[in-house]
Amino acid sequence: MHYIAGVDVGNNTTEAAVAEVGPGNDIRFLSSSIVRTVGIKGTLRNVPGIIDAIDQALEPLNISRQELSLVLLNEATPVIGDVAMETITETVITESAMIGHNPDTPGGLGLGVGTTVMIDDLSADKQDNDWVVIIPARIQFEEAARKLNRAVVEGVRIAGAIVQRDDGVLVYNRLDRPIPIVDEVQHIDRIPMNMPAAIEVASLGKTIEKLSNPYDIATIFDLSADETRNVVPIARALTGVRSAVVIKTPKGDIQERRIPAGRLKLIGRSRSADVAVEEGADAIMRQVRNVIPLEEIRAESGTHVGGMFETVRNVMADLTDQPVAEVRVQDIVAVDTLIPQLVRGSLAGEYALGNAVGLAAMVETQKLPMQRLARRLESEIMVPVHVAGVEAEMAILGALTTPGTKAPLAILDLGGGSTDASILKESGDTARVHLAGAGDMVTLLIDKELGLDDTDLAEKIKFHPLAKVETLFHMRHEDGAVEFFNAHLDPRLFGRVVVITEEGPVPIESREPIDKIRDVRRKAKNKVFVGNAIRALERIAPSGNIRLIGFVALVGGSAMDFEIPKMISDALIDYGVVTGRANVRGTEGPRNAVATGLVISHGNSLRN
Amino acid sequence: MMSRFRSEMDVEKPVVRVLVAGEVATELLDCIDWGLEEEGIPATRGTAAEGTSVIALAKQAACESRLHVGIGVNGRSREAALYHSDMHDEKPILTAAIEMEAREELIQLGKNAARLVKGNAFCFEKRSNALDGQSSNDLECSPEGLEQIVSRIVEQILKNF
Repeated sequence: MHYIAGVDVGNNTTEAAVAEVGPGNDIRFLSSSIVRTVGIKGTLRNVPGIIDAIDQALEPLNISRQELSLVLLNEATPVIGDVAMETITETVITESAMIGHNPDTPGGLGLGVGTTVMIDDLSADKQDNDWVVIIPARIQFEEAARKLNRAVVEGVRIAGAIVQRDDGVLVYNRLDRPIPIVDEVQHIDRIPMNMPAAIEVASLGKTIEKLSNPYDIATIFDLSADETRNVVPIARALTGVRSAVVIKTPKGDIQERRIPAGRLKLIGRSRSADVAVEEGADAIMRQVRNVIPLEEIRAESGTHVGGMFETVRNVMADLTDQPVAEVRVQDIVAVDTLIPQLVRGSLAGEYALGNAVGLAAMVETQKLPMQRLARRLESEIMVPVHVAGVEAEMAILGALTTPGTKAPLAILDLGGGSTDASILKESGDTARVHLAGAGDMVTLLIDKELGLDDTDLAEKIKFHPLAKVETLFHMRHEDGAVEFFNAHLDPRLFGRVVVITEEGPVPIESREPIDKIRDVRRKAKNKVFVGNAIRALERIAPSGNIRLIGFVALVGGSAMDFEIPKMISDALIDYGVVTGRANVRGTEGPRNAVATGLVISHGNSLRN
Repeated sequence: MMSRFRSEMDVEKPVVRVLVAGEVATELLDCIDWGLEEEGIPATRGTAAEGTSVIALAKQAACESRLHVGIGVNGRSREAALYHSDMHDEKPILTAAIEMEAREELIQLGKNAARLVKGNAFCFEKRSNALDGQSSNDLECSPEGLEQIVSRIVEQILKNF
């Protein structure tokens, strides 16, 4: 009788399983452990993490490291991935053509049309026109209101006002004749004088109606059919806001520009294709399907995608001591998305939604230098270390210990950089596939679509549910449940949407409502994880038919996610496949599949 | 036109209550009102005995407010504090200094009082002190605290140089 340990070094976690090998070479599992992976997987830096995992598994057993007769290390999947985002449309304003703007508290109500004039230039002789008055920050609201009231008494017709500071309501409350007022216009100095302008403020809970409709804009400014076509981007950008200003300047122009984002060359075994990134995700993925099986993908250099391809290839070359030229990108996944972008030339820091394509690439090489790692580990712990078994096959052996499964069994491992799937067919044959696009891509989509510019926060949003802090003493979770607190919450959280992390609630500095953030998160997971799960299963299923797979078990970190397993089983239910989170050895849940598989495989080889 | 200065009579109406003790320039008190007005929440102003502490003032104001939100202003300690009547600890939610240079801060305190009523997130664009949490925590996240830490590190490096 002796003890052995199986160790699985993954991208994020290192897992161990310790077992006793009995007299008939039968295996009895004793314990398991999980720790964070140190360094990039396959490098010598993994050693401390591995030792830690082994020690943690041995601790409750009162067995010392020296009593182990063998440590089995997985032949780690040599796959890494990376992600990038290409913006393909942007809104550019030349001169000031509009402000589409959502200050918290605009003043007044309704539509005002007139000619722009600086408040200092208001005088009794300006009787010939309706005026939209510009009030810069140096003018205090009381003075502004006094001047406007005096002008009205003198017979000047005032249609509306644009205010730089956040005091539109204060000005409005002091006026004798109500007008619509838009405030918090940062770059008020960019507004041209003596130009036709329209201001609209909607009542609370409503959005503007006129300035978001191209024909109403045409009516107000007397536009020709061609000019009306040009205001479509303005109208689109102003949809859904509570207040807005549109100014017509002679040369003023607003354009939705398409940005060339480079081309991708897809080289398949039998055919190849060329596709422009700006054609969008559907076009790219259609070509990917056309040329399957893919051998290599090249991206135009000097583009974001080109840069991303270079990074992945360099990392892999470093990792495996191969020349960069020999490292090839083998899979790519594209996802269409809309991202908020600062409008160039805007007046109040407005955002417009631009089209973008998210791309993930994957590189697979021959082998990671696991032997080198095994030798180092051996010399550190003084126990023989063997590199045994392909990761995907070991994972299946481990997953098969889930009660209620049998071949044909497929496993899905949705990781950070790649989506891996493998299958054990009834015949005993196995197949596997690694695809680009997984957790990191979801993080990228969340980050960009919410305009966070904070990957850590995007990662938190991906992993945890949301809540809205409604009072200082309670928050409402995204499922509607209300949680009360004894002590009052941090004022910084008040009124905000928060992510419920292990360390407590983290505020999201975004004005988006909780439903929108939740929607972005779920859509990102759906596009990437569900899309890729189907794509992967189709590639490994007998004759490409998912219906012929009896069982699908989810393993790895993302199987622990609070909503991904449900999304995937919802998608697979149509195929009549039993889908669920693996429960390795009936005790470990979706964890420890590879470590368990290593030990079982060793036991099998001893018996044969 | 809306009347800006309400009398003691309207305490029964749903308003944010501002209680003042000691000498305070009207202009500074107006700043608080303006903040509330911009956010569309009415306020009334009252006075209390001079010796009352800013937190006691804020508490009393919150209890008198039918919106449960009060602001205490103490002329002697040159402080203003925001409080909610549901709270029972000795720390205000937010504070601001009663100084001519800090008018923006007072407008913001008024705005935040209104936001507390409306359930909207506070604005922290300009400097304002969130007194919640431990002071050590504040040291970590406030720009001043950060500056302190950095200058201490620089001192240490220079010493060892």
